[in-house]
Amino acid sequence: MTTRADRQVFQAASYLRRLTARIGLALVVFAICSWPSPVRAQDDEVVEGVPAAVPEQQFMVADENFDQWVFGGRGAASANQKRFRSLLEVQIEGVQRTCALTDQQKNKLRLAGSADIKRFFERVEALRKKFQLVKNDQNKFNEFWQEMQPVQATVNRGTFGEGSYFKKTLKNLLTLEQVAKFESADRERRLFNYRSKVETVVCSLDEVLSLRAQQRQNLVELLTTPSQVPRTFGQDSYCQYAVLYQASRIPDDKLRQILDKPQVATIQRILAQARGYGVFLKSSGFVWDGDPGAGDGARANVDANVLIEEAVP
Amino acid sequence: MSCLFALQLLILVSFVARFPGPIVAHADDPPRETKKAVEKKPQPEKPAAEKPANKANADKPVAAEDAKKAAEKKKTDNRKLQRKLQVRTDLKAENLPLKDVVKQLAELHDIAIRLDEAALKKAGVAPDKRITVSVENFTLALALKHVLKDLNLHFGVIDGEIVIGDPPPPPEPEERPAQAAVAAEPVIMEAMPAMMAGAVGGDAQVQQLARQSKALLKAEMHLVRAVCKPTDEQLQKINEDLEQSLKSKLGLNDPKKAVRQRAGQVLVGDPLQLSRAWVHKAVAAHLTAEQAALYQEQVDQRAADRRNASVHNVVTRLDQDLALSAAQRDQIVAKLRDNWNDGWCPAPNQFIQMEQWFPNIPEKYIAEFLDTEQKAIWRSNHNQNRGVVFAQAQFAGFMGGMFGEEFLWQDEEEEAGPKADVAPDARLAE
Repeated sequence: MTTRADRQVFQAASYLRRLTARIGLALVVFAICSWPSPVRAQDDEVVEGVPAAVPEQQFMVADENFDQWVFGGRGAASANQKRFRSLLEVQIEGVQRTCALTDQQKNKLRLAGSADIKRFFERVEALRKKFQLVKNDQNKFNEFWQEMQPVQATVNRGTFGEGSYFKKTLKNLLTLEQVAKFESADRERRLFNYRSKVETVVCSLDEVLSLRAQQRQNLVELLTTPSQVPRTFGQDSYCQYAVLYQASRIPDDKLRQILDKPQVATIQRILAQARGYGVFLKSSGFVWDGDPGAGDGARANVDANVLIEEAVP
Repeated sequence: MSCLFALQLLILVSFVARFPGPIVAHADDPPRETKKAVEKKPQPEKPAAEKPANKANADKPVAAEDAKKAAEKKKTDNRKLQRKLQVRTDLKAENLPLKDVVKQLAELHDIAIRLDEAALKKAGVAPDKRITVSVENFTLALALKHVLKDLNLHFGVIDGEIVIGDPPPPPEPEERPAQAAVAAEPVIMEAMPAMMAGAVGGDAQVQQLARQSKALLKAEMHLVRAVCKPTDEQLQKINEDLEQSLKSKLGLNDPKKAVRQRAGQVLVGDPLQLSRAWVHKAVAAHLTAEQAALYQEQVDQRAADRRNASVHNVVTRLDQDLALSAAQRDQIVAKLRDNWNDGWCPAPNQFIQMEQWFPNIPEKYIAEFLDTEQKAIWRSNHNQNRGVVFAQAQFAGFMGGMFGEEFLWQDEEEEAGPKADVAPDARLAE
């Protein structure tokens, strides 16, 4: 039997799927428009009155688009290899600042991070080959575009995040004392991140509820308790759903302590919709403490060593 | 939903098209107006500011016909200027007087740029204040913005010339179009055409504006009631004003004042900005100074909260790549908070909508807190977004229209009295 929550999850997921497909379609349209005519700047003038006889458009996507899509304007793959190396060093330095790593620990982390970089660029190259096969085939291109999404997400969220060899090795490497320091710094970082998203959502709520300053402040505090902060985050664009989902789990009486009656009525309609986002968010990479799989760091460490041996030549 | 899609499509295409790196490079790309280093170029003999004055002297319209023609010409000149402002340009100046840099830009693009001396004086900026700037492949509009932003100056298009002067007045889009023109031009140029109703037809857009505005007005009036505690008489007057404003916007009073038309499309305006501007005006008109000050305090705090959210989002985005320490985060937050420019980021939800976007924040506000490796990464990230500027997106419902009109303030939620529905702790706080 399908529950209301299931339907809402389905609606949210299908909306996001449609959105993704539309973005893909938009890029395809953009690619078609940009070929073979010259690329226009965002505000270049479009001169009207072009000859009417236009030959039938053939679906073609220029090769240059591939790097643009994957790396989002940060240049070609070779330039990004260098960038990723720098990112790795910055990550190691970040851990070093918190936990005072030994040289041996640093080297192991560097090795693990290198494996992540290698794995990522292998994935990019495999995708590039696939792109060559579909770039002139509109039907297959959509399918390819779906495969592109996780790669883009990796670029956006970082190669050394949850699930990476780097992260797994890190958990395995640190002494208990270092783990405590690292966890504390990580918690602080996640809290800062999540709070910025909460503040953003509260600003959006303010647009429809016209909250008082004190109400905004109280609402931010109510929505930023440690248990609401995800252990791992998905894409930034889904964070607002994560905040609303967590807000939907707050008892009504707590909201009533902050908001006025008509404001509560409005927010309840919003939160009723958000209540069904949980499954979707989890499938999009959001994990909260207490969720299944949130505390299996030790098991992951064992796997990480095996994986590194496989990945690093 | 289709509006949302259209908006998303526009944002996406606009964003992709703005990347400086070529997606498909062609030899026949339109040539960019390239500027040699300013210091190497000869100075023009005639100041740009004289041009419009001479033009005005030459025209000397006396008859009504001539006046009409002159007005048309000004309109055309403004349009031409708008196009010129979109031309790509490079600009390098090292420690040169502002007036010379402006003169060079005017000469290069064959346009009139005037420094409003009174406004400069007011801003405490001398025309010969030395500036250093280096931009490549910026639109002229963005290059100007880049030059002026640290001087707290702005520019606008007025009567066929670009006038550099004061910051914009507070938004009252309906009532003061002439004043708003100075501030609005650059913003509109960078805006997605979100304010343009699509081909769905003007009536539907107008109806939507009416519904959204009413809901937003009710919400904002709830704030006014809770904070200012107006009397019934004051409330009645405010409500009458608001009704008039809405009617006027919708053209119920005077069809000529109805939503503006452009090329067969309807410009309906942003219901959120409009409704709040109307309430602001009505509060100032009908409440006591003390009551109005209480409302103003809330409005100011709202703006401050939005800025704070943007600052925290900036630092979060930096942190993702740069693994900042807690101290670095705090330092950058403090620096950005003290120096925030709303032009960098029109709304905090910009960060949620655009995964890779980073606002055009000058290096000096961030780099000093980074180590060498972090700086290198930050610069590469920062360069990627150069020239991408967003205007305030139009209100389309909660979270950009993901939640439609049914999630706005409803009729049945109107309060019986100003105090009846105020939350208990809020009452205590007040």
